[in-house]
Amino acid sequence: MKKNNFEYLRPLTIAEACDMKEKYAEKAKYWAGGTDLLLQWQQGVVNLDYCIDLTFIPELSYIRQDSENLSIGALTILSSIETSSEIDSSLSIISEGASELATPQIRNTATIGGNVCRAAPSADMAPPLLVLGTEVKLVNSSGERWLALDEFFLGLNKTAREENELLVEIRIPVPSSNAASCFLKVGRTVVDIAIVNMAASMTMDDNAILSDVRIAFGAVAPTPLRIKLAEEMLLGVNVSAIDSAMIDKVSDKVANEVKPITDVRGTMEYRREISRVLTKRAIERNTQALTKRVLS
Amino acid sequence: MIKLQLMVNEKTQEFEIEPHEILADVLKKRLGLIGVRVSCGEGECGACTILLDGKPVLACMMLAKQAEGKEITTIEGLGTHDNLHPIQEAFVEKHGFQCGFCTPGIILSTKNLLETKADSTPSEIAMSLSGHICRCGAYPKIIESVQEAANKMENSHDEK
Repeated sequence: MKKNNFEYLRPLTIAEACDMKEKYAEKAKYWAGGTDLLLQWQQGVVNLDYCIDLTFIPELSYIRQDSENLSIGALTILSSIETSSEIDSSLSIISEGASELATPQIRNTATIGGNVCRAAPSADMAPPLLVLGTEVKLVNSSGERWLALDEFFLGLNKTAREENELLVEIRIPVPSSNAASCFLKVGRTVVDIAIVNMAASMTMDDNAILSDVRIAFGAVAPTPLRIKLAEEMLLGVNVSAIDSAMIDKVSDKVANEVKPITDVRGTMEYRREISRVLTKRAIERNTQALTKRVLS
Repeated sequence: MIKLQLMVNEKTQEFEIEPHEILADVLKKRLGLIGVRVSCGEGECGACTILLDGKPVLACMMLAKQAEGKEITTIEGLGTHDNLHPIQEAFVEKHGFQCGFCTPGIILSTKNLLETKADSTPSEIAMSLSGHICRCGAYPKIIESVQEAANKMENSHDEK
């Protein structure tokens, strides 16, 4: 079922891209790597009259790290994120998320902005970005705004990006040295879409009390999401007081809070159970990392 | 129809295409590069893998227009029947294929791997080839072939 032909547009700057989008509005779509959009168009799921190819806008592709933030241009391909030496080790879950997404060939084409804007429930970049307090920069021809990623995912394949907006940058604050984080994914094979993916970050204050806890899951609800009721259970807890009973309670909470569906990759029950197990592993791993830092 | 200019196997080629034409179709149907294999057509199997500026990508998953200004290498750009590339020689010697349908893509991914990390372990080789499905299941022989190719390329490097 091939769809109608489209016109191909090639902006060379962000401003030019925004003007094109303004002109053609919903008849036009921004085209990043295209690995998903091409398929959707071929299958007739998505209709477009104008393809605005962002591939040739150099100002959209970069990885910059300073003492405060990691900034990634939206058109940066995932393999660049996977292998970048720019990225601080405290942000390694960003590279891990990128390295576990699909196949090497896809990672050489697909972009971080595309992965986020597609808003698939299983997007591998989403959980790491969510637990690290990521913000995204959206621009249109009349201005720009920053939005917390927490407020970006609205529903299945739906985001807070307005029709005329282009996501241009992803900015991740560098965690304090008292933070630990991890990314975990369960898929059928190393290249498959996640059955469940998740990330967790835990930050302690100088007295080893947890001051910030974030747990985010993918593929267990219509959007990637944080499980705030589980996070709250760990807030204010001393790292040395995290025992297996407490971890079990938090994991149970996660298993209760997720709303998975049954599909070709896994059943609802399996996803719930895996969510429980991954929570446990993530908290154990982060607790271990934090304990080492308390002792040293 | 719009103009398309591609650099394929070190030659500049010009075409008139429909904007939605994918890279795999242009290479295969217009240039007759039948080493670009299209199997699943949806990014799962890796048969259509080519090198874009030296990196493996799926020719079925991108518009031909996206490849403009970049160097495209297909299996036809590696060796000839009489003068095989060392990776091709290694695959022949170690029987790194059965039907051969997935082989062009695998050899191109191997080229990128050996250029970035020539001393890859078998598990690193397997990970770097994770985007290729070999329906004959020749995987163990494929990994042996990659190791043999690494040896050959290292030796030829030493001789220089």
